[in-house]
Amino acid sequence: MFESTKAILPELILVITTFYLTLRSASGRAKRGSLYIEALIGAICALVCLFLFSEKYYGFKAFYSTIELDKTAFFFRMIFISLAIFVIVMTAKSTEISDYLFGENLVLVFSITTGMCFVASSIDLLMIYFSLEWISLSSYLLTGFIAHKRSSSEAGMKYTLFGGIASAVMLFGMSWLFGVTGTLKLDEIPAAFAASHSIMMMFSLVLILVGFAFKVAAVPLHFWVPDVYQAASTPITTLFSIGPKAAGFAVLIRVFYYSFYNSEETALLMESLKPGLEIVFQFFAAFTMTAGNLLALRQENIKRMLAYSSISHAGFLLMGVAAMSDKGIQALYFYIFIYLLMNGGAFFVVNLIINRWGAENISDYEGLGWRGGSQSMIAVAMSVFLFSLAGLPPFGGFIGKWFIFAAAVEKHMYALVVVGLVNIVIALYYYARILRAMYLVQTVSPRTEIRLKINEGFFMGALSLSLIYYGIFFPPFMGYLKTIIP
Amino acid sequence: MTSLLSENPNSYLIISVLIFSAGMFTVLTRKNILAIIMGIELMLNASALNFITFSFFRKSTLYSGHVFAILIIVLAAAEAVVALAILLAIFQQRKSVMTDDISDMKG
Amino acid sequence: MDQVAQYIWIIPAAPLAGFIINGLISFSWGAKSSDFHKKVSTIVSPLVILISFLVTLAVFIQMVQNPETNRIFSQNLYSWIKTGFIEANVNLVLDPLSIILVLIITGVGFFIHLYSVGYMDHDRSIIRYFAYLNLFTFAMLILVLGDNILLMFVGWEGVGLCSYLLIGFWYQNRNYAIAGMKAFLVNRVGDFAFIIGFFMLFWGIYHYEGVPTIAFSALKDVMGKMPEWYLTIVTLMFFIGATGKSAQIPLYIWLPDAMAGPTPVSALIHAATMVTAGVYMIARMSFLFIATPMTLTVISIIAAGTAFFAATIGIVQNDIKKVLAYSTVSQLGYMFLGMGTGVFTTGIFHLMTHAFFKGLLFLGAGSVILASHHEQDILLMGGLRKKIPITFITFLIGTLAIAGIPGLSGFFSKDEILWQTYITPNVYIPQLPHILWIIGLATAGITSFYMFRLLFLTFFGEFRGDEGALEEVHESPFIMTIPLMVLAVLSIFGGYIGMPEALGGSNHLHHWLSPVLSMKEAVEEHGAGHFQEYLFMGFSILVSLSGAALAYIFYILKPSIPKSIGSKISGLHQLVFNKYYIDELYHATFIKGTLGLRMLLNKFDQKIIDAFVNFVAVIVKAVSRVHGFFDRVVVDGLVNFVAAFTQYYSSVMQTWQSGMLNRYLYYILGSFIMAYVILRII
Repeated sequence: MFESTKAILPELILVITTFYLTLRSASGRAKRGSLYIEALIGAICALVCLFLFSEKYYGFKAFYSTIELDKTAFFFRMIFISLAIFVIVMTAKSTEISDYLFGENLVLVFSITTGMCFVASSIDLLMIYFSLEWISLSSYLLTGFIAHKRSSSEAGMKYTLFGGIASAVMLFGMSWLFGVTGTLKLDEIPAAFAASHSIMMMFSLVLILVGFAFKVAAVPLHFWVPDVYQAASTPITTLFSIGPKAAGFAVLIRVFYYSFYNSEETALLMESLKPGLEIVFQFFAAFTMTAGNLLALRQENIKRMLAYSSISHAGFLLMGVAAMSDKGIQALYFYIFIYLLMNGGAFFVVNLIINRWGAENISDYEGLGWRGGSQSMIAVAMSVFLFSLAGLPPFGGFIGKWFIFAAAVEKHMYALVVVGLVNIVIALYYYARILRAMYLVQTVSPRTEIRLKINEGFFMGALSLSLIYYGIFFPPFMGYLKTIIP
Repeated sequence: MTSLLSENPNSYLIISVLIFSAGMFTVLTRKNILAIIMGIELMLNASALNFITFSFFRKSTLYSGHVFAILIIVLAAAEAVVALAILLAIFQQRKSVMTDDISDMKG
Repeated sequence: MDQVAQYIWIIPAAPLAGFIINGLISFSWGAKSSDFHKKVSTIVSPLVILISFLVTLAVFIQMVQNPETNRIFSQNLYSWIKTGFIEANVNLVLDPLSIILVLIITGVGFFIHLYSVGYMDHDRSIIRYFAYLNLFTFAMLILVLGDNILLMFVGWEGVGLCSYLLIGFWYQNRNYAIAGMKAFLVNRVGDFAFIIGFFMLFWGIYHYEGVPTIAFSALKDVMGKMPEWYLTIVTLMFFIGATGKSAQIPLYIWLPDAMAGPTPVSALIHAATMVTAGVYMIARMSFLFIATPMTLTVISIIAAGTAFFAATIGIVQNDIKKVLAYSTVSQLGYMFLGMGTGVFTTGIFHLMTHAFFKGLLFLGAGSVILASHHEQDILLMGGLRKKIPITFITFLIGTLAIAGIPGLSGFFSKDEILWQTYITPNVYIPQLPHILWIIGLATAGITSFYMFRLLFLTFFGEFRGDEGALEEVHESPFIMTIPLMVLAVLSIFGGYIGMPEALGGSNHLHHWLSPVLSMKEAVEEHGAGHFQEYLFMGFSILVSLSGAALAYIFYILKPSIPKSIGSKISGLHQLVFNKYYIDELYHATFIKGTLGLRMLLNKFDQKIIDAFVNFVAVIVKAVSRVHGFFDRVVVDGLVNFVAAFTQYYSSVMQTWQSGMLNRYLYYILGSFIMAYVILRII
């Protein structure tokens, strides 16, 4: 009878760790180091459990069929928990997070991770709304809970109001969808659909899309992104730039592709919706990548620049959705995974610089490549991450973009492909600005020398090597991703 | 019980649309953050009313609409808590709760 | 599939391993490398090539035993690129065509590696040298073994890179480094055409045949619906690629300068293997070329022109390696002439024999250079035959072979080309075969003349160098003379596998290759039996002998003649001596032109673009005054219009990012309404 509970063992461990850390930090005497180790143990346990026990539950629908723990869910949960571990490591010595907030910070990281895991496996509108709100509330707090920092509360407030409105709109859409079909289960919706309701259906789907677009930060629902990314501490920015975005895509694909597009009984539904949906996604993709890139072009603050660049990456991912084919989705999954590596790596370096120098402007990176020792290694790793973000071979980012473009070409979305290509060129320009600062400027202002710790060097090296690895030996992983699409 | 309610759901739906529009209007026009939060609450409640209405008139045996409505109330409360907590911090810093005054970050 | 096929991967892998080992040693120790490192390098490097050669030989033996229909061995290593459109595997194929090339690359390559051990003995960068040489062998093998155009292109670029690295091997000398750069740049022109050809071919196959593939084996079967005009453009593009790599008009100018590299490199890369890549490429894609008579005609004309043109320059060169370089260009012209007839075996045959005798000649030249302490000017040599007898004899054999003296390999292959040129009718210009034949024959005479000139000036007569320098001339060590002897043997007997039937041979090579090449049926019978063929053979023997005799008269009997002739036609002499001023011409046109264009663009940038940008800026400022909204728009310091454009929109977007929550909401609502309206309209 506890089959459902057993199935979500990794999430359960995350929740238990959340409560444990809440109590520990509430006592006020917990040491930062011990909290860090405990959190790390909890997250690693969750990841291990995920790998050990999830295969048994493929296809199992838990909790009155509100969540399904299939292969896609496994893939995303793996990404989210790994991301949590990565973020916990980044927070360990972060100077932006003071000791007395450290415990709460970890609690919220765990909370948001749990929420994201549930989002990736939800197959019921109620569960989708619930877990999306779970993520949102945790992220509002993570942004705004540094009460003494002006920018933190400002960004947190905007994030809250924005998120609140977006989710209220989404909820309204869900209520209409429920009214039209009489069910909350994603797999029952297509069968309950009748042609006479297609306008109402489209209306409610667009409203729901607003909520998802807010989560993936698609234009024009992106206004919160730069403020939040800039105001949050860098490890949390890393989390935001990858986690909720990936979760948003997971649920977007589950609703719009897996349920509505991909099964036999949906022919009637798709016939009336397909042209509209494809155009909507194409519009989203084109505007998102262009606006993100244009805004990133003139930024001085590197976190803000990476925030805008993450918007443009969401645009490329939306291109994969717009293709509405197995290939597009497969490419999108690959891109998300690579994005975890490359964006994580870039933010890791940014975090390192902020912690050691307290500097977060592009001009602070001047001459980094010429300072020698650890700093040169950091510059090399950063170059790998930036090249990959820009989509240059032989790095993983190139392969991701390549496959997404291939999927779009296959669907004859030539206009979108042209927009995408132009955007790659624009993106190259602002990534090159950092490279220019690191290598072409040789006037080095005096700063304290950065010495890399072993674990930091390990993370940077592992991330850049795996980017190269996946840039060359991608076929096995690509083949695996093909199998996770039902 | 049923006799107290009218035979078709239209009046409930019209009311919910009105409530949602009112919430949207509030959100768009007011600059006081407290008012915006209230607008969001209105929008959420419109959805809750919708869920109850559909659940009732479709005679859903699982009562999923009812459950959803209760969940909305819970989450709305949680969201209000978070929003007000952050608003409190803002008020302490800037002595203002207007959106115009929280526009430090731009560009 | 035969057992041996699963070992094909060793063939390229061994040189790669050699490169990695040498590269690591060179990278780790560099200039500090000890004698031990050097020893490791000099053993490992030839050894890996030997391993490749032995594996190839094993496959070859198996292949000979197999029936004709079962002579294609392939091994799929790795699925490289796989999307809906394109599927490229790292698939290595040994078929009767590629195995000939591989045997040359590894066999001749092995001996050249061995020779290099002696030749480069005193160079302190010998480990780096061997690393490059191994890498080159690897890239060349990939080029030959790859079963699809993409993989071939990887090898194509790889050999180009190694060629660049090895030409500029002594990069401390500025001129040598420039020579490397020149080779690299000129090759880029060809490669660009190659890529265009590749993309066009791929698009054409996708469009006309509907079967997207780039594997040679599959391509062969799907061709058919592509219109001829399209195919002609594709093949011409590929041929332009070949003119770059294989040094044909107009892109041959890099090869003579490439002699800046160490001599064994010239022998391996710029005579035996890399420069023949273009010929191989045409043979590999014979099914494309055979369908386009227009391209074949163009190839023939360019090839004959190159052969003649380069041979005339060879007459007046005084640098021993430069003579051989122009001779290589000329002989490559011969190969393409053979390809242009459509009977592709002739070109491959000449490719093979040329690899033997030109490799031999270069190695011999290297031995001479080393013996006379890095003197390369043949006017300062003479009478060396007694001092370095082994080098002399082998060099003599090489000269006889290239000059087309009957009985040696060069005679058979060259004669085969001339004969096929003559008898293959041309659909566009009926007289063309005869003209080409005459040019080819004349070239044979000139070849004979300049080669014997080289031989006589170097080895006969009186020594013309500094006093006492002759005493120091010494024969090269064993490790260098053994390759000479082996190649000399091959130069003599290498021709017999392609001996024409008219001479009682059975033309093994032709029968060996014909299953894998799509080509015209070689016209064996032409009127009255083999009579005409004998007659033509007689012609070419006569021409070769008279070339040799003329050289004998000029440089042994009456050494005063060349000078007097030179002074009588000094204008022509100057023209030829300066290589027809082609380099100067290119410099004056393309390089100056490019630089000029750059200046022009610069001007354009400064004047037009600036004005335009300023204009835009003025307009924008005016607009911004009206709206009071674009205050933050900054359009300064940007000369690039596109950048200005993007930057401008970037700043507009930034003004939208105003930090005002209510505005954001209006933007969102507005954009949704706009999107709705737009969707309604379309």
